[in-house]
Amino acid sequence: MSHLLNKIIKNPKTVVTTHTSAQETLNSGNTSEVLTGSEITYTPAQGSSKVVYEISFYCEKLNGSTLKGFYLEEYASSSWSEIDTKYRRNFGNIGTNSQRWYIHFRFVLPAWTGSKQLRLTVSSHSGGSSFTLNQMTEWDGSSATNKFCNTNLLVYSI
Amino acid sequence: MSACYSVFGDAMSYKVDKFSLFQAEDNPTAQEISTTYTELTGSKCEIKSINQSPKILYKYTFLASTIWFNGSNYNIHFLHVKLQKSNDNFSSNIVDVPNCLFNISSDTQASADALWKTCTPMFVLENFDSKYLRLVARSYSTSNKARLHTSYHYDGQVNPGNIYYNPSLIVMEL
Repeated sequence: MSHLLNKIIKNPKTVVTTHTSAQETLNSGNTSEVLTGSEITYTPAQGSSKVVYEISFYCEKLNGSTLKGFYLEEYASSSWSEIDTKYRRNFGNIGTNSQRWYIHFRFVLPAWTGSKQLRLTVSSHSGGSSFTLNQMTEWDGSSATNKFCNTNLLVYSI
Repeated sequence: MSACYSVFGDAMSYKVDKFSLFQAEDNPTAQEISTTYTELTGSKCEIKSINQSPKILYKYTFLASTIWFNGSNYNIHFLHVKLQKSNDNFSSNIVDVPNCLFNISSDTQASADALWKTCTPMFVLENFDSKYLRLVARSYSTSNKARLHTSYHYDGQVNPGNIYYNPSLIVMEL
């Protein structure tokens, strides 16, 4: 007997990270750190041609500038390295204003055989470019100290 | 999972059904979001899973833009957005889904900076225990209202009309 799973995507794997504190990114230029909740070990479904890595998270920058670069990395040969420069992303703002972003990134990778670790790193374009991840400093029209947004990671095969 | 056999005693193939939904609003009326939580057009869905406590992927996309009055007179937008669940189509049972919430804003310091921002919330809900989901939003203050789904500016024109960013929703049982 065979079981035909009636799903559009194959072998989905998720990581939901609930936060209780903010992640403050590094302030120095060209220094990177791992985005909390972005790491996963994934084995593509047999016969698949692509792997899709989707992640969503919250960040904000109050009263200042920020410009962030994001890099998709894999663990291979006992170290982490960027998969390809074509998977880079960036965003930011300039001036003394305040910005609040809900970010959703999607990367489409060629499938591989066996398991592989993936993660996303973030670095500042230049000094003084830190920002805050996961925590909202305002909610319902006033300041807040206990409002956090989950980081959601979904990886699947097609 | 139980085995399934034909009348001839042969083992059969069968499907393990997983719920999925794809929907889009076609040229929706613009929503002006102020300080009362308001359901985002096209964000509501009924989860029709046959499985107990399914894992649900909820993904929605919409446009939020500055409200433009005239000249450099803008309403700088700052929205609180949160996911809600219900067992009775939000009649009386309305529950905020924990930690599925976020802010989006443009420049809240300068007086005349405008912003047009698309947003794609994506939430994974483990052991989902309700029948309905939706997104609601309110503005931080009456000075931070936002206009959703349409744009005042396009192709070099001001208020050309009929410029829509159709909000769409994907909900999938994983």
